[in-house]
Amino acid sequence: MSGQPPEDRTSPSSRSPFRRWVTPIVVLALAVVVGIAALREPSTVTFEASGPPLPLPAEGQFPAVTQQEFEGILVGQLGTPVIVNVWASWCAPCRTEMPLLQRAAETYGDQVVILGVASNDSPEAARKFLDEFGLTYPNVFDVSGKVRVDLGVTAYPTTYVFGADGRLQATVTGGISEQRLAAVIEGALR
Amino acid sequence: MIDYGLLMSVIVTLAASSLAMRLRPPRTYNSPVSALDIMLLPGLVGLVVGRLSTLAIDDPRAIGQVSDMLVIRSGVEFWPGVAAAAIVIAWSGHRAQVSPIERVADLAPFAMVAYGTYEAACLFRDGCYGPTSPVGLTPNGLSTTMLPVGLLMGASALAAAAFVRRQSLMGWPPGAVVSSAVALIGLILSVGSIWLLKVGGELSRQHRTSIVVAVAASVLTGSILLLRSRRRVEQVHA
Repeated sequence: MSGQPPEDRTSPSSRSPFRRWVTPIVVLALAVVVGIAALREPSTVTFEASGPPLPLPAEGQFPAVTQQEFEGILVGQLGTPVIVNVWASWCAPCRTEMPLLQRAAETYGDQVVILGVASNDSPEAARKFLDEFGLTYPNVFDVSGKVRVDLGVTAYPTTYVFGADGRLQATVTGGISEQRLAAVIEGALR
Repeated sequence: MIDYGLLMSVIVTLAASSLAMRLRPPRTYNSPVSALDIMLLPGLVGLVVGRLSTLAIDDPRAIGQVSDMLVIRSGVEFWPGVAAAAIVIAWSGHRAQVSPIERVADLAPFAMVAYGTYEAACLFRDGCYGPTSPVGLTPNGLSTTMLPVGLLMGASALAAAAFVRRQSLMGWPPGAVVSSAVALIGLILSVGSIWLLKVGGELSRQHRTSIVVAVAASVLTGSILLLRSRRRVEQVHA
């Protein structure tokens, strides 16, 4: 035990006026930069699925799809809101979302479709990742990388909310919070 | 991808609690000490213990995998983290020959300020939303306005911090100060979690734990204050 109170290293009176203002100014500047980055909304992507409708992959399947097939799956779900979650096995924040999305799939059942799209990844690693979480909602593998390009993915994970009319309603870049996910699903169902 | 929302929350939390310490310096330090010096170690220990607790419960295989452990947004068990931080603060008091419980009671309002600011910073984490309401926030892609429950929880925690600080200055026993701080935060978490939007209707683990902690801490606060008043009466009679 030292028995001594901590030393006074930051007494305002012992510091020059310049040094006294450096920390608050640096913190403020950092907060402004990070705050702008945090509040920035992703640029609007115009994406509308077209083509012949295709069914969702069955539970346990993990098909490699082309851009046309992906669009076909979306067209096949017209009339039901679809939450598309683009993920990769190397993306740590994607781990956060998987149980949340699984819970959403179980909670909303047939009312909402949750569709995972593994992209920019190896099929083996993505499959292993899926098995690890025991997900039951449908997932596909973006084999050509074109799905990612068409959706304008700039970060992993990214979540897209398509309304029942097939129109893209919202994009959430980065990890989606439980509150935001619940809000966008409730909004899409309204 | 950098989680800017979480980073911003940490910056705002540290800045607010530093400001609070500058305006109302803690009383168990003989000389002014940097707020960062006071908060950094307990905060880090609390974060690590909270994160490890979550992993131990939800995903024990991830313990030891650095990339998984660092994704703190995946979950940090709140109350084990708080307990660990309190133990570190008590230990710092013991080292400085200050009563450990007094040191914890002294810093409790600042911890509440930090918690309240973190909750209010839900604006940056997209985590404020509650039920639809005429006033509030409109998430991107929605036309509905939602009650900013996270902001209200933050404001409540700041008000609770002021109350606890006041009770401390008015001479409440340190044990009662600490337990009332715990009870108030538990209450805020319990009530706020009812209104925060969630996927599925079940109570979360944190919600259930907070209810238990709030009740237990309230009983403890009441017992301490009751004992104190009895002692006073006895002293008067003696």
